[in-house]
Amino acid sequence: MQADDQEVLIRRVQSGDTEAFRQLYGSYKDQVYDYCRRLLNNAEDAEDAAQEAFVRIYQNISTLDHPASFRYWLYTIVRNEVFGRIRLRSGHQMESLRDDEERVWIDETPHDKSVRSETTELVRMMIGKLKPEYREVILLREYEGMSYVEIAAITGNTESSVKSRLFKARRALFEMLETIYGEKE
Amino acid sequence: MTCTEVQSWISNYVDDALEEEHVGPMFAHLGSCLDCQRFLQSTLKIRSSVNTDAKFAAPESLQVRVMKSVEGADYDSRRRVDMLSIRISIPLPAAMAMAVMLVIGSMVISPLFFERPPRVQFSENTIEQLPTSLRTQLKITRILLAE
Repeated sequence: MQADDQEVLIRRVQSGDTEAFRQLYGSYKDQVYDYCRRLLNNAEDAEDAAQEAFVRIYQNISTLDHPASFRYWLYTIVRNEVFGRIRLRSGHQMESLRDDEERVWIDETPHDKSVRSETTELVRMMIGKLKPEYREVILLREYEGMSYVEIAAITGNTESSVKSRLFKARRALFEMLETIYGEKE
Repeated sequence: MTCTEVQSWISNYVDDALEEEHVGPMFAHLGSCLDCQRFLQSTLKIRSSVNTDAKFAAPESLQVRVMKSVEGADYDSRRRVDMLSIRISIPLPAAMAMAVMLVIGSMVISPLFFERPPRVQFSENTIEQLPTSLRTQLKITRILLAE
């Protein structure tokens, strides 16, 4: 959707036009659902989170002063919904990242010897096993193509922190790929 | 310069976010370090895998749920506003009859609740003591009332 078209659509939604909101929903539904699905690793939870997020977007869109920043505002709302569920689900506490933080996997490293699948599925599985804070930056960078500045704005972190998390996530994925492909050989 | 440092540069480089002064040293190190070469390959492989990984499509049920919530909330808020501004339709002849009855009724009932205020009689002496303008107004009023 062109930026100007989107701005007109957003203004219509702000004036209570539900048909305009249906069109806006149509433009972002797959991105939002994909993000929820990859972070929550569960289709049912992802649908619940996406629904709540879109309803909140509709209810609060009148507070959006700059339609040009809609995409980042949308992701902030979706993120809050997703991480709220992650915290409720597992009691997972969002850890503040320290420079010496090394643990990037949810629990055990995903060293599944039975995985002989294509690299794409393997990479998807491995990314799904990263801790949410690390998974998120990989998703926003690799799947959504966002810049460090944009990721920092959405996640509420500094750009330096985003760089650090991305590096650590990539490093962890690299070591796991090395282990899996090393054993295959 | 350690491999960890170079690999962090590689991570920034693939995102077009590496400072210019680190690019040369990074490539110089890559020329002779197999570990860092494999890290670069792994990072690019992950990216290419992601690019070929289809996005999860939102299910149709999600749209139904979202629009139901949104339109339901919209309907509720409109209904609340309407309840505050209830309109009652009454035929015109009936409305006129009600208005006439209200006026007659108020004329009949009001003496039961309100005493007629006593007539105030001004003596001529009192009137002569008033300022000229007021005297003039009072005389005009008396004339009008007499008529």
